[in-house]
Amino acid sequence: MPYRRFIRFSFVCLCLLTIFTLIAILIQTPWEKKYPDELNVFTWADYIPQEIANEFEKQTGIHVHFHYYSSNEELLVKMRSTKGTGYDLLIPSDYAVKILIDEHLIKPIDKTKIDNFHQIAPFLCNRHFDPNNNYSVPSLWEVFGLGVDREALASNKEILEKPSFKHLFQPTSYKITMTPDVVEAVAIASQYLYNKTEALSKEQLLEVEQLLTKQKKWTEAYADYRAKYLISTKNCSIALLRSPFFHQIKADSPFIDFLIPEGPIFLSIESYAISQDTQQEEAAYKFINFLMKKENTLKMIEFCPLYPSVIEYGKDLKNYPEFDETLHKIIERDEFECFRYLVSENDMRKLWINVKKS
Amino acid sequence: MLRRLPLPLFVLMIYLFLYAPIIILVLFSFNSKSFPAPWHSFTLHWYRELFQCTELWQSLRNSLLVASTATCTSLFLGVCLIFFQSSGGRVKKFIPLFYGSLVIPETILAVGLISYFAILHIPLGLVTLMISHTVIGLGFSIPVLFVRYFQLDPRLKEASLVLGASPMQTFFRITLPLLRPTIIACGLLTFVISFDDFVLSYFCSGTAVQTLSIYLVNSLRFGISPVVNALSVLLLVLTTILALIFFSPKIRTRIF
Amino acid sequence: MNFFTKHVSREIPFAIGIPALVWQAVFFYIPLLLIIFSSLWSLSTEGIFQGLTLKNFINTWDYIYLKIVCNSLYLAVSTTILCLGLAFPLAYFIAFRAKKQKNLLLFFLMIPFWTNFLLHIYAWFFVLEKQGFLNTLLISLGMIDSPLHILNTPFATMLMMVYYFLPFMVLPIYSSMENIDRNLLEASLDLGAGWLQTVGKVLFPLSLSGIRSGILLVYIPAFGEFVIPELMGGDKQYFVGSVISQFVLGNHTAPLGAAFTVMSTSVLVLSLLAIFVVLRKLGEFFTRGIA
Repeated sequence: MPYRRFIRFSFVCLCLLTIFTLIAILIQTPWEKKYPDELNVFTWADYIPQEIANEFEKQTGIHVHFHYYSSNEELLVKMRSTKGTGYDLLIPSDYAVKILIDEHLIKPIDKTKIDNFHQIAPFLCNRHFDPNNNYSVPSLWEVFGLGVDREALASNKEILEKPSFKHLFQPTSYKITMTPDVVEAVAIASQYLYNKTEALSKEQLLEVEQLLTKQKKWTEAYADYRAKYLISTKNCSIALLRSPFFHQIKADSPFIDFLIPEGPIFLSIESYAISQDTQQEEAAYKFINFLMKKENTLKMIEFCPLYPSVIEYGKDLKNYPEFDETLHKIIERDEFECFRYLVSENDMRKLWINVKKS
Repeated sequence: MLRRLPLPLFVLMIYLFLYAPIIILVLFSFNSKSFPAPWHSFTLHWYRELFQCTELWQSLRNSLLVASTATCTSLFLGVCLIFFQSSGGRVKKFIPLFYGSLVIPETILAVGLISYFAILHIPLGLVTLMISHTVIGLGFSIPVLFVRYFQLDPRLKEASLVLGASPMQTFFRITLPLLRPTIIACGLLTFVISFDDFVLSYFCSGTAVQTLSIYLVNSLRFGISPVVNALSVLLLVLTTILALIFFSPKIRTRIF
Repeated sequence: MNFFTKHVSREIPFAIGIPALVWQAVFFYIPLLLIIFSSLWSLSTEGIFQGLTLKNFINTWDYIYLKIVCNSLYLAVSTTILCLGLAFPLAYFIAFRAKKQKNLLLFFLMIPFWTNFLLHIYAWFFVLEKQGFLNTLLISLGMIDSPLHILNTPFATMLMMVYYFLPFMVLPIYSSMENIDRNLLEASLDLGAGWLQTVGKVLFPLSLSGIRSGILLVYIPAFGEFVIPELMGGDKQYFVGSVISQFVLGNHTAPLGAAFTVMSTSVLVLSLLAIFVVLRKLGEFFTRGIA
């Protein structure tokens, strides 16, 4: 009977497949190609275009393998659990750098090996998370501002002339988009309430929590990437936007303005850092220098329009005509603030759960 | 006649509800302007871009690999257990142990597994994904297989043994063919659940491995590109063809 | 091991049946026991094990965490009830009314089921956005003046939950209805029972096992769901799943997270048992007076 053989055959197939799985468990991923010289880079998903990595491999023979994370928390979890093995070069944001330094997960950087270090804008160096820049090299940076729908808010002259964070926190007739990151939210609320971004007392933390809870009523959504989407589709009228997102949507949505609120500008710096356990330190330095060359920085900015750490590079951008103007407006203000943990991680987490529980 | 109208109408509305977004998704994958612009002009540009997006194909490959391995492994383990039962072992009391996989939400299982893997120093990756998906697969396959097994007419097995077949021959020639529809149904169910799965992959996949679900969530969080539309159309066509194969009467009589 | 080997034939070593049990024990029960055990740990701020304590459980007995569990309960219960309400008539129609189109209807039900659910979320974004398909259609038809605000609301979350879980509810109910003899329904109608009475006293009790499986397949995953509320609801509310993933991303939070997990799972299991008891009582109520 024909189906008897079919049964036997499928049974044998299943046996073989299970044996194969068990062998794979013992050998552990034999199907990843092994390169003679490999650099493992742990970065944001839309940061470095693949063609730069290909060009680097052509020039130096070192293959670049990207690993992605989508939030600083994910970066920290993965670094803590693997103790950094498996990664050579990281690109963490400011407050993550501080935590990595404290937990000895990154090693000091020899600044003499970085060619353009002296060209990096001074306000990007010596910030609170790494004074003296012993461990990190500023790579690209962005600022937080208010993406404003000029058409929807035409009647509200105050916002357009004197933008400030209070327009996120006071009862309004329009909808806003807020950041989903608790560190950013608490820092902005603290700036608005107390004009400071240092450690908060218990009572101040409670006030911040109440403010953020009250804010939910007119919040359309908590989103950072989707914010550019929500404001360009007119689902909200004000969005707490990062500068690169604004530049990405400006061309298709000319009715959106990027207004920088009064007071210190919130800055987010992505830095290069080298993992403590790396075996490929030389390759990491080579890649950092490669990325910091003018043509490669330009390619990265075209890919995702953050601002360059060497300001002069930001001049000749085709896709983003308003890039230069916005960049210089920001630099003129010259009052910057970075995000930091204002209280312990556990208190932050409890606060955010409290805000979102209802 | 009028009394018989509301129910078909109700059913029609449910199907419209199920299919409306899918139809719109398909239509707009041919739109030349990126969402949310309204219909502009017909183009195949996004399909071309889809075929150049290597990361997406890698994540699809990973998803398919994990899903098929998990399905085969859990089916194999299930069939072995059935064999054991049919050869006289008594495992009926132990079947409720497998209900646990259904009762515990995936998030909790995932969290338990990652700490477990961390303690055993198994690096997170494709293999840990396969292991975790197999656990889910076992939870679906084994209870269903055993329920069907116990529903089988025991006289058929007795007749075969009485007529001189050995227990192994009985198993391969009588029991297994009778169970074949259930095995295939379980296999399909496990495959779909594993392919669709997001929570387990999110926690257990580590850094280098990305499944399709993770890729889609990231692109949903980042923004919407019609490349995802094009991919969904492709997947729909693929699943329709597969479903046609399994549901068409001709092939059904051959397999079932 | 004696009662295992007593009846096993000599042809195949009995060990062939054991791998499944071993796999389940190794990869399912041990991790779970690990979670339960780690919820009793006490870690210092540097993460050093300090001893066993019940402090974590006491910390989870906090209004915040209880409210989160209530959010998930509400979501799961409303999803289950809505799915049940839609699935029961649908399953009845496919099983009893549709003769020629039965396979076609089942086929069309399965297709969305087999497509990755994130693509469905993406599709619903398209439809529900302020300038999305639905609003554009309604405005161009003149039915509304300004666009409806649907996305990023609890309504959108519930819509997507029902959309995703409906096939899970329909299939078990349909397969249990398939096993019901048509003649029973006809007999009941012939003997004078009204249409509503037939449904309540004949159809419902006989399809109870299917309803039970359907509830199992919908209620439990809906309780642990956190992606749909995040993407469709604007991330404005936290559920059990979101809190657990927060704990996973935190530093040295494993014991507190484990305690929260244990607490929420016990709530889930207890509520599920309660639902099954209610279901059985309902079945008994409807069949009272019938032998």
